[in-house]
Amino acid sequence: MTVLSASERFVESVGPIVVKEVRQGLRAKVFAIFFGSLLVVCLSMALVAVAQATEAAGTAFGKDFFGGYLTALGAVTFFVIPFVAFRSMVRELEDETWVLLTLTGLGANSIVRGKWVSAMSQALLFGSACAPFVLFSYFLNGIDIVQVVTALVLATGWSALLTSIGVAVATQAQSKLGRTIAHFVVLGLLGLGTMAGIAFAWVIAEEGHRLVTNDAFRNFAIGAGVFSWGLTWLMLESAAAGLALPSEAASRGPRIAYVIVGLLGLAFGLAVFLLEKGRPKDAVAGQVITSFFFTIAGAFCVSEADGWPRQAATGSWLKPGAARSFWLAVVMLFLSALMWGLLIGDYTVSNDGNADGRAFRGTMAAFAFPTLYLSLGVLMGRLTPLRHLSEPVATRVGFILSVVVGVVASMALSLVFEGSARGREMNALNPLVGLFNFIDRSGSELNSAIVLLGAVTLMAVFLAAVVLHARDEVRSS
Amino acid sequence: MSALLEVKGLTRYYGALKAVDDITFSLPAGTILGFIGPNGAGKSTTMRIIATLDVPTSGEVLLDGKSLVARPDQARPLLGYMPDRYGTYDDMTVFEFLDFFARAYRLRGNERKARVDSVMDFTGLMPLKDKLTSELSKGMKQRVALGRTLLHDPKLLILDEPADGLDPRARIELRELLRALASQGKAVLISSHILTELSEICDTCAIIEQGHLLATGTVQEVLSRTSNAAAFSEVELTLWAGAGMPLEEIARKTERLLLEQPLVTNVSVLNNALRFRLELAVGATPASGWVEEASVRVLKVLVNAEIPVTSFRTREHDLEDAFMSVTKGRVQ
Repeated sequence: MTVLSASERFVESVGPIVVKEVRQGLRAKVFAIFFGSLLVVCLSMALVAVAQATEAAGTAFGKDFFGGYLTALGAVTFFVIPFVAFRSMVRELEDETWVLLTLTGLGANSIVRGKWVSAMSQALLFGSACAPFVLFSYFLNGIDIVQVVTALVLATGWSALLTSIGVAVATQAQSKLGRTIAHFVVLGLLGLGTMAGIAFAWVIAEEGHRLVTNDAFRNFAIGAGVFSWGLTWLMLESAAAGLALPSEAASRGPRIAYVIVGLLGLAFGLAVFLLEKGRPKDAVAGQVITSFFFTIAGAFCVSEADGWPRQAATGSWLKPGAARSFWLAVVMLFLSALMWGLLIGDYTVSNDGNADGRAFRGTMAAFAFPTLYLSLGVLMGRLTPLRHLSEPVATRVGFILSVVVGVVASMALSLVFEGSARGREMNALNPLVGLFNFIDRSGSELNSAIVLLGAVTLMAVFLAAVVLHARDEVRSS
Repeated sequence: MSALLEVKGLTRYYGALKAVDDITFSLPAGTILGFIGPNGAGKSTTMRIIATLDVPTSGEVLLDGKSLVARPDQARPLLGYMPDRYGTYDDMTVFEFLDFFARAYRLRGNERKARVDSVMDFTGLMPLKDKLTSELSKGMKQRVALGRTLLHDPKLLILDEPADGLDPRARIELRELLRALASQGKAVLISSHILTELSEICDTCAIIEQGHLLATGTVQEVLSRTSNAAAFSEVELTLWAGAGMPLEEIARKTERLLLEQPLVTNVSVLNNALRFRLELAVGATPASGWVEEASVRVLKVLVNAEIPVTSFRTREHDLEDAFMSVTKGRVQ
């Protein structure tokens, strides 16, 4: 009776979505099939390991079997579980049951977190089925406990991130066509994520003790671990914003997560640069990576529709609206450029005093290109009278399209006028070749090219801001 | 009676499209309001705004005195919304489904169990509690959905096309359930295409088209207003077959006579009965009692021509007529 009431109390304390999802998940055929298959695979490998160990006693087989178990577990926890979470969220949207859940007062955040927690609970069940076998591989020699723990911790973080991506993508697709596209996007992302995760697991298994005790690797693992949890948070916030009703101000969560995760990334980059005594080219690499994050996360996690519901009409930066989310992405990109630029400046001053033109240009270009193309994405949607073109999803498509057009058109023009697809002048606005030119090449033409890029970017930002502010006001009046 | 729900000047734009245009009505507790209108009239948009699922471009909605536009979170516990899609989880039993939503409404322990049992009892779902929702008929699924909306004991129920696709028996049962809910003091806002159904359920009705509220009031008020204002009326008369003349011949003669009369249109013969419509010319303003006057004139002509008429009656004005009358000239 005591045990029963304790379990009842536990169930009461867990959110209703988690209870429902776990109940549905455990009942689903997909769980039974994959759980059974995982056990069979692990058991078969264990039998093979026992046979090999009996034949060649004293040989270290551990790392091969450790890698094998992680591969089997990774296939389920990096692919199946996140995809099941994605499908579960899509079904909620297709059947419009999420609306009914929202009306109960649960809120988009609870729904999204409930889905994610239940998926992770299922991953934990798979992990616990596999755990005795992973431990068994330790007794086959060749790996140590630090490797096992490192691999499992990183795998958990990776699975958590991929699951949050699955849930987030599902909430961004509101139409039938959008959901079909989302299926392909998720399959592609999870496929790549699974391959990367499994490959990394094999690296840990093969490189063994040497790798996990290496300082650089330890820094990387800590950074990657923290960043993957930060990204998971951002993904869940953005999923909740995607699921929120028009009557709810949903900007707060994603914006806070975007800023905090971004600042953490910058702080980590700064720490690594200072500890490793980085050079200007490292700063440029850092700027490219952080700009990439701010751009992609800006376009996909914090981009918003015009206007805001009436109850959210107060407040400042956390007030919803496309204009504010656009400015936030631009400001974060600028902060990133400022930090890396200052580091290059500091290096220049404290060394020979000669400014590294390529590094400065590269840092500026890595700020200007994403800002320019985010602005173009906004302008493409907002300057037309078609309402659907100004939705966040259309802005994202506009952003990607403008990047593709920018790359292809610049290269074509460069081929015609400069005789090479990598020409310096015609690729001034090319976000791919242009960026490489600014970072990698020298020449006076690049000085005028960076001025042109800066001028066009400023104009595009100004126009995008004007259009966004005007539409925000119209939609909210 | 003070209004539980007050909708004031509700307007909703989607881009350039004005989906709802300055709608104002109120709904007291314990009454059922039928929301009538063709597809795309703005019914669902209005209902979604009242259910806090959408936001108006302008206007105000007060539920129990609280603005659900400004504070939707405070209004939600007071309302239950049933969309046209029932939204059940196929792999859950009836009990699990209701229990899950009861948890979501933060009902705990014995209180939750009691509430789920009471809702299953009220909706007649108790014998089906262990059945998967995917195995239920449409009528039963609809009961499950209705049960879900009742779990937190809301004051206002918003039901979007609840009778759609139900068989006659399920419709009658739904009607009885809604009547019982209204008698408990709940206000019910219900939309339907089946206007005869609504007239039997509703105390008040609101006719909406192209985002405009064209008529509102009690069903009787709307009927009497629209029947006086109607530009047409359906009439049915029956003939006596034993008048010494073959029935077919009498019917033909009657049809000829009717067609000669002013205002008579759409004459059709069915065995010993004839149906026709008394209809004013386009643009003519209906004067009070014009139907009665025209009927007397037609009947006089028939009697003078020794047509053996055994019954002559104008069909009673119903919500469908009211709807057609009110929307006349505006239906696209």
